Amino acid sequence: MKIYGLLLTLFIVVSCSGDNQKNLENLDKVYGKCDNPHRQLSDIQYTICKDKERAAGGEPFDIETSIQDLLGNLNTNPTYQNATNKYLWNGAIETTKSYPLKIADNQGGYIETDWIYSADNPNERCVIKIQVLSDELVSTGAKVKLLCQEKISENWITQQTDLSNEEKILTLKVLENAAQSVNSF
Amino acid sequence: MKKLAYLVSAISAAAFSTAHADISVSGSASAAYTAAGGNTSVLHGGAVSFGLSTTSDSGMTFAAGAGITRDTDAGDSAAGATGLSSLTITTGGVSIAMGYDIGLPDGVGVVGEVVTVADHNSRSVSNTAAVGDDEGAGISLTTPVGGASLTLTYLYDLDADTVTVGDLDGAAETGTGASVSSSIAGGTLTAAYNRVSSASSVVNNETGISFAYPAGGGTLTVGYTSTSGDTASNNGTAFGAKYAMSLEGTAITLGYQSYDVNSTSGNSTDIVVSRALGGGASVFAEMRTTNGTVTASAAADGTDDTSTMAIGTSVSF
Repeated sequence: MKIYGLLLTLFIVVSCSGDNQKNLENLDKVYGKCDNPHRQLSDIQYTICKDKERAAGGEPFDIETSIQDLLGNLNTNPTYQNATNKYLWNGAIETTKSYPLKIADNQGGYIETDWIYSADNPNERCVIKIQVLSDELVSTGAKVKLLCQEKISENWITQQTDLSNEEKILTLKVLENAAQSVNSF
Repeated sequence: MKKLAYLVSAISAAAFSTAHADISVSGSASAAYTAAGGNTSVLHGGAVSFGLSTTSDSGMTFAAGAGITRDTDAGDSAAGATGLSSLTITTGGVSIAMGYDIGLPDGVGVVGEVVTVADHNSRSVSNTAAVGDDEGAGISLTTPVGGASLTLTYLYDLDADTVTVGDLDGAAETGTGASVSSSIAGGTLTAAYNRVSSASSVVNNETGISFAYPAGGGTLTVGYTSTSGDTASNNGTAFGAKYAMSLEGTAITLGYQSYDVNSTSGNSTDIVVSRALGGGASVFAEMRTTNGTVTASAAADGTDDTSTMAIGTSVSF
């Protein structure tokens, strides 16, 4: 009887649900992922989690300070915080791992591959540009841009073809790889 | 469109065909020197975790896990394989875990015990506020409700984690729990209630609450726990506090936990310092001191102590 009540509660609660992953990530920042009361971790997962937490070097609480700050003195050295979400970054790296990278700036959140040539048509080449726009794992956190050129009379000319559909597919792939990056932690 | 077909398909083929499934591997290993008075030990241990997941065409994610572990704080225990006893389904905003190793959301108010290795050979507080067995066969649901996170758990067989089979209709021991976390007054408040019904209709309850608040460059967490029920030796209250901060890349955590249970009282004070070395490696030092009514010495060589420490290194993969 109790399990039926729990299942009924489950269906009711589902209708009121929102972004569970975002809530869990916010609680990770407060308690640490290992000690988040809303995560079910096995003993093995907890052990590995705590070792990763140590290796992160204080990042679980995401707070930087110094003795001078504690004493209330002014800190004249600016602190730069990475503005890109690490899962989106990992997702972008995973998506472009088969191609040589020209630019991979994890501070600015920008990836650009080198020119990619087609074996079937050496007179065509493309480049993939991925910009990580957010420090949170959101569906609008990555933007993909494709640039393709065609060789005409020894000159590379940018194609005017609408590539929005291909860009959308690549964006979804980045988000999928980012989600898998979360699960692998 | 055909011109780009090879490029996009090479990247996205996995997304839209058969490669929704994924196996991830992570692990860690550690070594630590521990001391309890004159009783010193060296502990080696580690674990490997396999994460198995797949996504259905509708976007529903199914996940399971398995692992190999060698206990890091139990001397020379043999390695053991565990896992593959639960399944987690994530869909929309809801995560549902079901299996033999589902845990109740208890211990929410016990925030002051922060060491992971320095409890080796430590004479711990004798009576702690707890409901007893808190893990078994059951189902747990986590979902956001408004801006809060809600977890509901029902264990239909508390013995399943030891007998490896879940008795759905006739288990002697069952458990129910609920916890909710929400942002309040600049901090995060978590409250939980758990009820365990053991053999012979013995019922024990636990209510816990904790509040985490950013303070002085770190995070201060305070917690309170109250237990009551038919097992008198578990009835009482507990208070804990923890302060965690990062100082120039070094993580420092201080914890204090006190118990007043069954007319006895005791407390522990923990300190943990760790620093990352890069590449997944870190070094750490821990210390625990216990006072009040503590357990008698139980080590094989007859030497536990109320003051213990550990220094070690760990690496995660």
